[in-house]
Amino acid sequence: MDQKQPPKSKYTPQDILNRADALQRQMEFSFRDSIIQSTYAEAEKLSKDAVRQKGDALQTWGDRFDRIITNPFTGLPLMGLGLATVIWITIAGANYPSQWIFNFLFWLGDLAKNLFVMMGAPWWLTGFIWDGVYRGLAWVVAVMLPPMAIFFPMFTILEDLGFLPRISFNMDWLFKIAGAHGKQALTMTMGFGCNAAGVTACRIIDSPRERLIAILTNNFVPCNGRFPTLIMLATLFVAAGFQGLASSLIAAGAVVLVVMIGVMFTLLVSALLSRTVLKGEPSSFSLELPPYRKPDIIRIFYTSTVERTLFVLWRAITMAAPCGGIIWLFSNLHISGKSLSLWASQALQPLGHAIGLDGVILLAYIIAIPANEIVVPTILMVYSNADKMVDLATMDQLKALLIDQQGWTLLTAINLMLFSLLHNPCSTAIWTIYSETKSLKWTVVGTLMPLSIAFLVTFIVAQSLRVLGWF
Amino acid sequence: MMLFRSRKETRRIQVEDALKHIYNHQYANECTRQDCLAQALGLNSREIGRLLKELQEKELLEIQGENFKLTPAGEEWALQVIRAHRLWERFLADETDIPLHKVHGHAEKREHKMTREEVDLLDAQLGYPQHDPHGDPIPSARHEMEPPATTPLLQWKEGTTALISHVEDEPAEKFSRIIALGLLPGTPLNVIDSGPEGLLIQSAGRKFRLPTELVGNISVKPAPETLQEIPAEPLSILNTGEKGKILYLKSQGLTRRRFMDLGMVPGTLIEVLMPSLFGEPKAYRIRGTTIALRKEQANQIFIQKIKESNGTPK
Repeated sequence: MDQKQPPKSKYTPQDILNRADALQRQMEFSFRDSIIQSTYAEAEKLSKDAVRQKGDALQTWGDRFDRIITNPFTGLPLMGLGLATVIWITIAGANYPSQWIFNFLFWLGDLAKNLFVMMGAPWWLTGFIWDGVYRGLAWVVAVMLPPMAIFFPMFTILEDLGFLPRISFNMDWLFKIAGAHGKQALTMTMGFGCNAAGVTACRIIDSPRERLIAILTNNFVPCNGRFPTLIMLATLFVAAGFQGLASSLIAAGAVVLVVMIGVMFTLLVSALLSRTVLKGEPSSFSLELPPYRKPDIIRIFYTSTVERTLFVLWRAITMAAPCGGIIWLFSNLHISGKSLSLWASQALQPLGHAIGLDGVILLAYIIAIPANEIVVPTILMVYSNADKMVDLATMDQLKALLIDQQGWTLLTAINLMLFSLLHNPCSTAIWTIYSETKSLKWTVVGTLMPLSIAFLVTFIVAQSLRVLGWF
Repeated sequence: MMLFRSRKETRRIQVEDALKHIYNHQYANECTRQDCLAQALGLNSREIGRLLKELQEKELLEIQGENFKLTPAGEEWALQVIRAHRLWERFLADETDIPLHKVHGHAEKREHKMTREEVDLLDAQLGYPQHDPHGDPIPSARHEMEPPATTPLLQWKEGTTALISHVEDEPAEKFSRIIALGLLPGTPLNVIDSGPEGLLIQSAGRKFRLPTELVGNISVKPAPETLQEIPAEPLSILNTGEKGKILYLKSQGLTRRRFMDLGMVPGTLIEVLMPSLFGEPKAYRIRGTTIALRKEQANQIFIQKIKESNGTPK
């Protein structure tokens, strides 16, 4: 350029663009890195000038706690104990509120039913609405609401404290072997509350492949709705013959064993998926371990109640209402003197027997797909030939019906536990898989894969135990 | 109708590929005779004859003695295709996790499908990058490009640190072997010894032999002062409680972006805080935050170990 600088106006925009273009082409290979580097250098300088750091008591305790929880000898028992405590508080704490809601809603239902009868409504209308749709709905609300209202806030508190990211950190090694992400440990923990919520929680896994693996296998963690069934079976069969504390300890041990089998299947199926249909490079892993914090109670209340509990409950209600109607129809529609449920369960009997169950159990799993909570009431309804879903008050009554009348054995109990653990997700969870993946294909895989595994496993167990001559 | 259009499309792709190859041959002062071009494009003599004739008719190409030369219009078109190709490679390497040895193949298809406006938009979105992931310059919107000042690795003197500036992306088999050795553009290396089986290279804390057939595919330039003579080691060698200073990252795409977002820029201090319950992954303290990384990720971060003496880091 000329030594005598021309006045500014002589630069045309084109000159400036040309100059910029030429300068740009002289830039270093890694100029973008240099920009980021200088941004960080500037930020560091600013924070050094403006921020003074003091020792933080919470941080010191946090560091100590980190040492304990990542120690192989103290970490595993601590995490196991933590999980067991959360589940125990949920189950024990939900017991009475469930009973109260149950009593209140059914009192209300009876009142409305009597009103219908008084007004001279036809029996089928009264039955369909109040013994069918309403009863199904009330049942789901009563058994689902209290455990979720207890579990979700506890989960959110642990999340807020910074405890849950440490679990991901600790468990990542196992998930890495399975080709999955450590955060899957979190979505599984959420699954103990509700699989639909667990599937939604998979959003925290940012790599699509690992996220899909977590979504498709979340079902192998038993949710709140399946725990009562597991506990009932463990108490009635595994812990039979023991009294008091020994009985409840053995029953608890059996449930823990089932949970362990579920975790094993999660890892196994994750490994299988990541080596076959979801083959690919493991995406890069980085996980932030936030400092331990005081939880924000208002926010916790909001997220756990509004975003999680009510959201899931509403989805379940929309599924349970029509299902209640269908269950009622099955036990009240008669063809050639036999109820529809009897016809269906007799047709399913050979298949049910092959996998160590029976036709009634299979029928219950088919028509009670909206919620695992109403599987057992449906089984009891068909067994006792009742015209609506029923519950039995005591273990002795249950024992009389299931063992003495229907001939359930330890094999039935084992396979029912396995089937309950491994079978397809409930319709709420299936719908959630669809809305999270937006893919019909993965929804079908997420439904049929666990179902096939459930059939396969129970079939193998039943057949081999029968060959051995034990049942 | 469909058939007609797809045939026209195939024709255009063939023309563009030919222009690109002739440009590259011309640029590298390689043979531009008919037989050389036929070999490079994988066409037989009848096909190449027809193609060159078509290019001549369209005034994209002229004959100079035995050689073919692009007209300004032909050069313009060739540079536009190269620009689309290299920008797309840059995009795939920076914004996706597609492995580096696969981006060339994707770009070979994509380069024919982008309009000039789309290419300019991508250029702006990527922040006007100057080089593709293999180190080749990207032509600007006005089709200017700076030929990089590089030295073939074979001619590099032993004893001074070199920075890889370019890795030839074809053939893909050789390229992926080079990448597998960790020799990405931007990686520093030292030549320790040369012999008939290749060069003995020290890079990223490892010594290994680079086979002769791969040496020719790598070009280098002098490394900046900061990288001279510092023995870099992967972060994964640090034990709990030990500290290091980040020298450079040997990763690309989203992973690199993520590391940068976490503040892992050269010069940053990083400390191993604790292993997890199974010993893997490990938690690191970076800029006051705690980040857990798996061994695979920690192997991509290269550091200089800081020795503590009297409690004060040097």
